Amino acid sequence: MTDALLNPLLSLNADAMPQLLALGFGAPWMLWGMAAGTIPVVIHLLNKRKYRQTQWAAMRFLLAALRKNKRRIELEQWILLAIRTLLVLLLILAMSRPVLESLAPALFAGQRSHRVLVLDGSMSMTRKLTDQTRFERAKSLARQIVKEARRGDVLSLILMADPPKVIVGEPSPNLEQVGREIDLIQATQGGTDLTATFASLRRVLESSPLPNKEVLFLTDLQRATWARPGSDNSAALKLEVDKLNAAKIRPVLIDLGASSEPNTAVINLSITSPVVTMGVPVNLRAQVRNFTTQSKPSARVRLYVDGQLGPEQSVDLPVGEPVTINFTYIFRDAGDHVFEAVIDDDPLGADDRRRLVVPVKEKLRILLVDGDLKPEPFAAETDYLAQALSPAESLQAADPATPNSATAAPSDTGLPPIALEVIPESRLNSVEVGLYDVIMMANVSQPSIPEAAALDKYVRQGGGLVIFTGDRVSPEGWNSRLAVAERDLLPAMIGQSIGDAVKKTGAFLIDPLGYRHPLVTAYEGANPSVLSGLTQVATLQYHKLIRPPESTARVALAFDSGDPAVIEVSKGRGRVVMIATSADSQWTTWPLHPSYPVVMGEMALLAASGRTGEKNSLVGEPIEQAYPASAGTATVALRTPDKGTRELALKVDSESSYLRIDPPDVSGLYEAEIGPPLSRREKFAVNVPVVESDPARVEASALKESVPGFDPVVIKSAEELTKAAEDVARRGEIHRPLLIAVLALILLETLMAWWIGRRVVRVSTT
Amino acid sequence: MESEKNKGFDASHGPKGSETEVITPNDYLDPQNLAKLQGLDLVARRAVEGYVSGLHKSPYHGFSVEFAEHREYAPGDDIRHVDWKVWSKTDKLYLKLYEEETNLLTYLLLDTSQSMEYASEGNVSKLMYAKMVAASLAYLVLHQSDAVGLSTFDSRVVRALKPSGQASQLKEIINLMNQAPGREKTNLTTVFHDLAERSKRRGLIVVLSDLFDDPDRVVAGLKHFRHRRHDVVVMHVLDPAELSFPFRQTTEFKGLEGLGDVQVDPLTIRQAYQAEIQNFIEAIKRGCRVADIDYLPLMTDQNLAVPISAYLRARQSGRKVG
Repeated sequence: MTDALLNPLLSLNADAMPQLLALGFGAPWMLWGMAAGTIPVVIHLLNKRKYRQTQWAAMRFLLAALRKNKRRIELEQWILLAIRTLLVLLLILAMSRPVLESLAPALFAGQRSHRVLVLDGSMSMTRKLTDQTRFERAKSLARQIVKEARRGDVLSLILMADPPKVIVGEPSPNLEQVGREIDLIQATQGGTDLTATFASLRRVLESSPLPNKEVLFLTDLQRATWARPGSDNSAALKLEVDKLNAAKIRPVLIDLGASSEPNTAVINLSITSPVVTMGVPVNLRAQVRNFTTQSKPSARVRLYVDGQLGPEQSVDLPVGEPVTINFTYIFRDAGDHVFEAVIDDDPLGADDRRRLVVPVKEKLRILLVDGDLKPEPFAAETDYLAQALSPAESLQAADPATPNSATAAPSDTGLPPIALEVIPESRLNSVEVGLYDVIMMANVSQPSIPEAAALDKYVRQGGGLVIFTGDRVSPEGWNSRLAVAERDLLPAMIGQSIGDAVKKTGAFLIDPLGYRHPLVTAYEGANPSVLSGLTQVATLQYHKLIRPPESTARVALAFDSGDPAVIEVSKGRGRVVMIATSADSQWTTWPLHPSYPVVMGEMALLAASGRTGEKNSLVGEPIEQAYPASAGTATVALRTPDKGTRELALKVDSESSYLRIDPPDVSGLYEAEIGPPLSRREKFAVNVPVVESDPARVEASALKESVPGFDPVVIKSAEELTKAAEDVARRGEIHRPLLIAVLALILLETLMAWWIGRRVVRVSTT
Repeated sequence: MESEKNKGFDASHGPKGSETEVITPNDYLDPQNLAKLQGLDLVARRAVEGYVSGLHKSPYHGFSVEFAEHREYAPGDDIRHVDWKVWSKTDKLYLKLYEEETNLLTYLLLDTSQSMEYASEGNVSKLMYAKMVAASLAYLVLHQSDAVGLSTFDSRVVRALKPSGQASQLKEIINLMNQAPGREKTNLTTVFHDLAERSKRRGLIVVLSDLFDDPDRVVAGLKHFRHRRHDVVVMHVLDPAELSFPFRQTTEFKGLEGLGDVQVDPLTIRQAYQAEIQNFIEAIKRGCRVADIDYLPLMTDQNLAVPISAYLRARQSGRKVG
């Protein structure tokens, strides 16, 4: 445990000694009594000085006996003296109440201490046990520990969550208040951030001047918390654990969990179309999973749309395999709709229900930014693009002062109704980008610095950005503003131009890369004449797109030269797609091929798909939604899943107004009523992290591997603590065996003294 | 002789002088009680008469063998002394009268060396006990009309009194014993050889000593008496504490006879000490047996009847006491 407990008399150095051997003392002052170990020696010496005298006639026999037995007598005397001295020393040692440190680190009743309780507040802790949830159990244990704290102890309280919450940071000597805080504390329905929890723990420990510190974890040891696979900050976690170890604090972990607990959960809800518009049938998809070791036949899954019960299905749930349920639905109104899937109740209730907010649009709003806007038909850079996305659109998009705006009915390509707006490059900075679902930039030389910032924010909040190159594009300008470390929006750096469209030195064909990317999956298995519409596209010139190493960007199509033709990446909630060549026919014949409207439509949908994402988040993630700057600081009435209402206000930054809801702890539907001038109603679905549904545990023995360096004393069951807290306090106390040893020595001493004195011979004279 | 034999023993003259306590003859043989009496002559008388009153048969009877004359029987005479030969011839009862004879010499050899002065708590010293025994035996011998002599010795013969059957001899012996405080170390070999040379006339040698010397040398000395054809009775006087070694506390033993002092925890050494003294006693006994010497161990807490009866047996049979 801590240095303070190590007695200076024994000077067991915690650095040099394994912790197992460290000794602490309940009554260290008793060790001064070790001086009493000299008593038998003193008595022995006094005895030698104090003797009677007697005349003795049979001296010759006494002398002879002494001469023959001198060594034996001395040996016996020494043994007896040693036994007596040891007896006194052991007695004193027992009275000083020694404790083996490693066994009684946390609740050892010794000096004043700073005790930090860390409660696991993850979703898995909300599992119902017989009469209370596991978290309530943890709370009652925590209360008990607080109640049993000694006068002068100070306490802190941390809730392990994502992010962790420091409930009582300043070490509090007010045990009652800490007890009240424990009463108020609630488990979240989210996961945990172990690294951040350890960091908080370290800060809390550092805040107290008391040298004696104890840390007590109350957790179910769920794997999602303690051994999250693929956790990318294991180095940071190890650093924090090392700091804890460096402070020589050995935590105690009360394992409240149990193995093989059943659980079924709705693990995913999705819509197959990236963008949902009114009147278009969409496929709603729910996935449920059985985390138990036994398959579960005929589990009932109910699907709701906007609170109305849709189809109810009975499915067999095999072990470990997700089961998908599909459901086609046509939304009739625009706005946020809630799709909900519910599976039969089980002890872990929070994940038996999942919601998806589907923003249904009247039409998809696309902004075309033209870097080479010309009045003649098909002379402007975006004319083919506008035609492809909205075939009904006439070619009147000529007047740069009045941008074209048109709505098309759903086309044969399955595209939703699209509202197009075309503006010249120069007007981009005056447009409220947040109003559009997708922004397509064609042959724009370079974004200005504020434009670059606006685009970056737009994408990260869920917008879609599509960038075509062309002869006016300045690779340097794009790269320096949107492909740098502090703002890496682009999926690839724009490199030099390849080929020559003027001299027509040679053409590059498109390599569909096996039609694996969603943009072109529709072509897979199509007949050759259809395929040729894509593969026969001849590109005379393109900009080489250089994908940074370790980038998550995906190449959808490539040129037969091997360079990427279309590359796409997710950034924040939104997406960015780059096309290496021009949007018009200046550098490529693609706009003249039948594949062009198809791929461009898919591209628009893919780019717009981030708009759905912004409505759905997980517990522990903040909710953020941008609005036009005109919304100002409108008031927001937020209804939370627990039927409470909170008053908020929109926040304003340089370009826009936005709603920010702090990371919620509870899953469910959040409804925001935004006041005038915006006057909108928005819905947000907050779901539990899927990893929390998995009841798999880390065994106490494996804890050291999953959290490197973390080696707490694991108390197996809660009963161990509830039964008798004193037992825990007494763990490692060794005065009982010492007293038994003292007793044994007393017996040995008596026996030995008797044995020495017993040897009397009956001397007979007859 | 007869009158002595029938002399009753007045209980009121007992050492305690109390009418309420029942006093048995044995009380008068207890060395502690005897030690309270003034004068060894009184001790001797009390002891011997106390012993005699407990016997069925008079020890004074029939030691004289020389016939003197006949006397006519009168009622009350002991019919054992009737001369039946005369009766068969004359049909008259005559008694045979005998002449007393004092032809047995008893030499008492008393060790007065320092080691004999040891007395454990509650007991008389070995020397005192030996003196009581010597006085009692002298008294007994003189009453049997035998002659008794006494020699005291330590490393040499200190004083010697020639055997005599005179009534005053007892007083002489007691006087001599009272003048003989133990001073020197025991050196039994020289003493025994010396004494053996001095006692020319054959008789009964009674040695009263703790014999604290080398056992081989002691036996060698005793053998010299046997060589002179004396009968020898070794009365080995020991204090009970010398056998049991009853000490518990750390004790400094101050050696008598200049053997130095030693401080020791008695419990640790008791067994070894007892083994030593046992070996010593065994060696003496063995030596005596081989040399046909009567050996009699005496404890200072022992009743005086033991040495007296042992003497009487030796006197009667001429052999085998121990």
